[in-house]
Amino acid sequence: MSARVLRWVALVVCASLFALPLVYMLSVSLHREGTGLGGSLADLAHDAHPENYGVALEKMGDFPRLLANTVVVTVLSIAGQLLTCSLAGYAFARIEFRGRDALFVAVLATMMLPEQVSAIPRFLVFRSLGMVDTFAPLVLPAVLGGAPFFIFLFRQYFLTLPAELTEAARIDGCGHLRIWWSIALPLARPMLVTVGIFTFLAAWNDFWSPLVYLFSPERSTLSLALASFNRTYDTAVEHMMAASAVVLAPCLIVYFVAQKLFLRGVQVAASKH
Amino acid sequence: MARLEIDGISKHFGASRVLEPLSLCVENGEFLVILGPSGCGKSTLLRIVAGLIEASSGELRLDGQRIDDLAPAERDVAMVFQNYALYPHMSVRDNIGFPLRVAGVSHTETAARVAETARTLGLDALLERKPAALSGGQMQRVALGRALIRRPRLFLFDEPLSNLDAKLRDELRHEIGALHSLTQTTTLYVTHDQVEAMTLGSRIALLEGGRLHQVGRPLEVFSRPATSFVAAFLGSPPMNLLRGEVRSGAFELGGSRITGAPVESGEVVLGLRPHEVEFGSSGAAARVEGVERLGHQTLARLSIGAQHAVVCREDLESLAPGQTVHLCFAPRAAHWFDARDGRRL
Amino acid sequence: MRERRLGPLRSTCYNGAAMLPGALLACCASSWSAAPQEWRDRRLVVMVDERSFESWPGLVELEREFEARYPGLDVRLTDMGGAVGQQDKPRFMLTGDLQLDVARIDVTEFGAFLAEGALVDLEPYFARDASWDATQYLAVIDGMRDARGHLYGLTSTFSPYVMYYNRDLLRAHGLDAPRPDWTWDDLLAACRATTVDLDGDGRIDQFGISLTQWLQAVTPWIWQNGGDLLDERGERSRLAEPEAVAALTFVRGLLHEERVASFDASFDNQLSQGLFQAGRAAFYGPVGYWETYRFKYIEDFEWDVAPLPRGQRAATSLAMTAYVVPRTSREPELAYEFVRALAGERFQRLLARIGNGVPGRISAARSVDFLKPDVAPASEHVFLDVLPQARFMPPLANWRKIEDLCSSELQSILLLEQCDVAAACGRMAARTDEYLARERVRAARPRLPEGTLALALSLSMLGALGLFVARRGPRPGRIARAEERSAYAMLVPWALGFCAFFFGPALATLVVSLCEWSPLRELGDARWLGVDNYARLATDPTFQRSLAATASYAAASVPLGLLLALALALLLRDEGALATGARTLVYVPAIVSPVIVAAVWRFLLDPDRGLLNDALFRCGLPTPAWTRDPDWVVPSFVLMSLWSVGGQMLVFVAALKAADRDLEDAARIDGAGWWRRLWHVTLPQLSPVILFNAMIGLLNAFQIFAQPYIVTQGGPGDASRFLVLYLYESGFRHLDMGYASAIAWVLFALLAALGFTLWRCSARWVHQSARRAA
Repeated sequence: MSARVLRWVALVVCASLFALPLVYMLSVSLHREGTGLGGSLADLAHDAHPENYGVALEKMGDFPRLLANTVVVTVLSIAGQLLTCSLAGYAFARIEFRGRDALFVAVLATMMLPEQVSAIPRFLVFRSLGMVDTFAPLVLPAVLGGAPFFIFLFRQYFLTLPAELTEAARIDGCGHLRIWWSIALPLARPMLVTVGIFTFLAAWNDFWSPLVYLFSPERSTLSLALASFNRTYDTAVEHMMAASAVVLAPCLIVYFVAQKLFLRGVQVAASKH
Repeated sequence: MARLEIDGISKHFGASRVLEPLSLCVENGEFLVILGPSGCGKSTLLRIVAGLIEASSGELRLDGQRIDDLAPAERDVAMVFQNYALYPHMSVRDNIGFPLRVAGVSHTETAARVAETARTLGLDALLERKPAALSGGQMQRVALGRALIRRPRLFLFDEPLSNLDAKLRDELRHEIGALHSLTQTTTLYVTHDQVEAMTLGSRIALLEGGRLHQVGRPLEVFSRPATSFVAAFLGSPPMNLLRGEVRSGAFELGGSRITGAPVESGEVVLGLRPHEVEFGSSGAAARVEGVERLGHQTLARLSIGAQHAVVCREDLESLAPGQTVHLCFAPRAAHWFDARDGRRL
Repeated sequence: MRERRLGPLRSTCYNGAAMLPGALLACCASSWSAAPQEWRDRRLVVMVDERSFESWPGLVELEREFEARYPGLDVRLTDMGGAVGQQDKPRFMLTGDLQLDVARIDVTEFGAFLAEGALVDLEPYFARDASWDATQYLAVIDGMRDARGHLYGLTSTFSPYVMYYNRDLLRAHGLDAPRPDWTWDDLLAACRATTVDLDGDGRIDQFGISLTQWLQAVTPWIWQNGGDLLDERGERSRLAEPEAVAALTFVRGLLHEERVASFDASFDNQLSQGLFQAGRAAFYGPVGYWETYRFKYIEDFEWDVAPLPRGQRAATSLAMTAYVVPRTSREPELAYEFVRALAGERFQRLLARIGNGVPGRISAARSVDFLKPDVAPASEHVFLDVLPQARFMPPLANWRKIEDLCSSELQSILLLEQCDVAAACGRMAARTDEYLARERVRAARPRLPEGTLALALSLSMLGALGLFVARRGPRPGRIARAEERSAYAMLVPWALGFCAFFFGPALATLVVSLCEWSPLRELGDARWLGVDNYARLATDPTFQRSLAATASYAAASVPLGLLLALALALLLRDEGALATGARTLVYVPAIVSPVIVAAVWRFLLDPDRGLLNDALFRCGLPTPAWTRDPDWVVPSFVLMSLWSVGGQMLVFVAALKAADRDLEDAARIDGAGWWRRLWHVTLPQLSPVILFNAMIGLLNAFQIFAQPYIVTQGGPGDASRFLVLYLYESGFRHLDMGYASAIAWVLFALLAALGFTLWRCSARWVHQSARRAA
């Protein structure tokens, strides 16, 4: 009995410790300008300033535009990422071909490559394609399977599907493309959601690519606007935290909505290596 | 309707040889069963015919036309799998209709043919269900339907009944037999179950270790096994194989000399079916090790020197372990095999 | 810290523009006379500020005026990308050869931009402009002249470094405000008098002075003592000379011997309230005008500014930003006009009113808009008074590199309890000399022949392809070839991305790592170096410290992360609502953007008012200075990484669910205790997942970037200059892309080797039998 109580206490303590920084963020964002850092939650009872959020949004610029841009980039990235990575993952898991292992090693090796290593040449590539200051540099890497880890995840997932399903479909007249689309993808829903969420977070939170590639204000994204809050004298901490909370909120919503399938995808990733 | 020729097909994965070069012909409308223990290469052969695996050598012809270069879809074959391989995310209707949809058949025709197939298989009531909501037997029936609906030239079955319990297995076996008589489609059926082989097959091909041992009609294979493997594999309880030496035309067993061996001398194996042995007053002496009474018959486990044998009869009530008995049998009940390569003598 | 200084100055720029008087336009005859249709489809790209700045509306006003004057012209105001990116963005635009017509740069960058030919010489435009009169501007404008005296930009705002003081606090200790000619001794005496432990808890909580510690802020001490940074020809460092050593010893003495000084929180963390702002320091400095922007909210005490105290002589340093026309301007005429407007009367006055820099235009600097008689500080004129003694940093091609070379030694002089000042100065001088010498021979190096890079790239790609085709085994049958074709077809999108974004760039990086190349130049201007960059790595102490920091971070964060994730997973593996809820809470931090993580933790870890130290202090535990203490900064980042451990935890929970509970039950029946079950049954089953998490953890640990980039910028010293951060700084701050590329390849090799070793060793402890059949 005491062991259970102990466990319960440990559980609650852990959860609160992990929640604390975010609660702190919310608390600061609701304080009067200049009082957030030293302030406590108790102050909020009589002196809350939700208007900080309005101010923060206003300072970020054309918020609907930023939101729309971010959504466009995110959605395109997700769609591209899912298609490309699942295609490649399917080929690696379900088709016998020469050089498969070598190519798969190449996929895994890309995971070791820090983003900054290729930043400049990549920039030159996009420049020569005339794509700077468009969404292409933000979306294309994802569309072209820029995250090798997801290829790995899809491969793991497709390996768990019985081989007979693919064989049956081949006999039924499907090519691999059709099998991938009609059989493999519908069955990979949990992994689609998992990779989708990862991609969503990566695209939504990406600060580096927009910084490097987007110059026109009408193409700016939320995270870029958030970044312009950082370290500027004119901006109160309270507004910065409010802006952070605004940018963070969709991530939380998406996660909570898709949590169940997401966890099933993680389950597959974890139980098959 | 088609005639399938398997001509010198072999398969090896790297150094391991899965199929020795093998030739076999499935006649138009025939139901050929490939029988063998697990790992004998029978599923590999089936997958080669289906086009899922490529043969290392040899040719495949369907109605005289080479098909080994064709993709599975172009071969016009249908296959039923041991684990059903139903698409979990599709309803029964979609599963059955899938091959037509892929082939670009119109919606109305697909619907009509799905309905017809479902009626044949008694699946009408289940059409909207997902596979997860079906029993094993129902699932296999859907898989049958998916194969049937294409009206292929060749049916391939890969141990379709192995995952079912005994009762369902019988039921579906009959159904498959009935379907075959109805459609008269050339069929290649892989199993390790001799009952299925004996009852369904118009001919049986026995495969072991990647080698084809015998092809023939069920009774022929049963009564004249071409090798000691075939002899032991078919029949229940299996045929007794007693190893010994022939000296000057007589086979020495349990202290008696048995004549009739087709060779003058050398190591041979004598095959005797448990049902075809009687106990007499003379003949090879054997000691009773155990008696199992099954009701309608009794099994006696015997030892003859260092070898073991089983006798199965209906009139052994008085037998008890420890007794010594003498075996006798009709000369035509004796099957003789070469001890070295197991071939029938 | 540069951003910090830029921040305040940045809004400087606007006043002139607004006026754009007709007279001015008349001079730019060519543009003025243009017919309206000529402006259609033409753009003017202006990047001088952030949208969130108060000066933005003034900029918008300028935009409108310009667009009204030139119908059809599209003036685009662009964010600089936030303080974090504001030096990088213009560089990317230059590298990308993108249209950028007006930019604002820091005067310390001027040398580099000039050397790379990145700026348009404005002299011809001035010559054609009758309204141009250089005497309308303070002499600081000379900071934007090249050796021939050609002017390349106009001052936005500037600021000399001065001393802030708390008048009330001094008064309370019976002291007067510093006189204009006060000395180091006066400062020391005042500091001694005002350093107090107010609440008697043994910790000093009111300091004489809150010091600033970046090179630009420290240099005045050296100048005042008769020393200098470089010799007159800019070829040799003078930091090792006695004057400089003595100056630094004096500053260090304030901190560690007299113990009358501390660092203002603003050093690490300008968003939080500093010591001075909290009324707990009598002096603050040397620092520039921009702090008045923060301090204007101070209501609790009266404060003002004074010139820096004299040593042997009076001296101070100057910060400045200026409007320039970059090389990639497509509309230099209009750009010039816009620059004139930005440096014109109206916009300069606006900047003065906003108040985070001294306007460069004399009329604005002398106006009430700047002097603000009714607003603190009372003595704005000090910023103008000290100008005769004020100097810019040496106008070197790569001042930033020198500053970074020195910064870690400088910080150890100031921060560490034990430090041999002379030796540290010697090291600074030696590194600077070595660097300057290398810069001199640079120009003599051979160019990379035209097309080498493209040739090397295409050959390597072809080679890789050839190798792949040749090595992939015998040709299979027709069906297998058809399968193969569909597989390759399905891999096409990935392969394109792989070549375009990974393999190709990585190869290009390899070639660049053998060269010297500034991202501001054309790639064709790269100079061949051979393996020099790699040889330099072997002797570069910063790189070694960076490697050590990264290794210790990985060595701590990976195992601790695994342990914590595992412990959490064991605690939270149940299906109950409580455990599920707790799991969610533990996971959520993992989805928070690193930028936000860094922002939140910066405040949590604030040594003075952070939540963490608050709690520690209440529990009577020691309160480390976290990101400000070289020994604690890596643990601080480890702590941050542990907060985001939720992903690993989820993977462990999933693996535990997939694990065979029968085995555990069997062990329980066999009488195995909790620990034995864990060790002999559960962990072996988890071993593949542990390997997986360890791999991912290792990759992430070695690539840590965003957090130190935002929180510490590598400091204190080099204590948190992790590899990727150093790579980034080398490439984009020091404009030494070759060196950065070499770091990148070393990092890549290191990761590959570590990953391979881990994988190899894993054969011993990973139980593949624990794999579940699908």
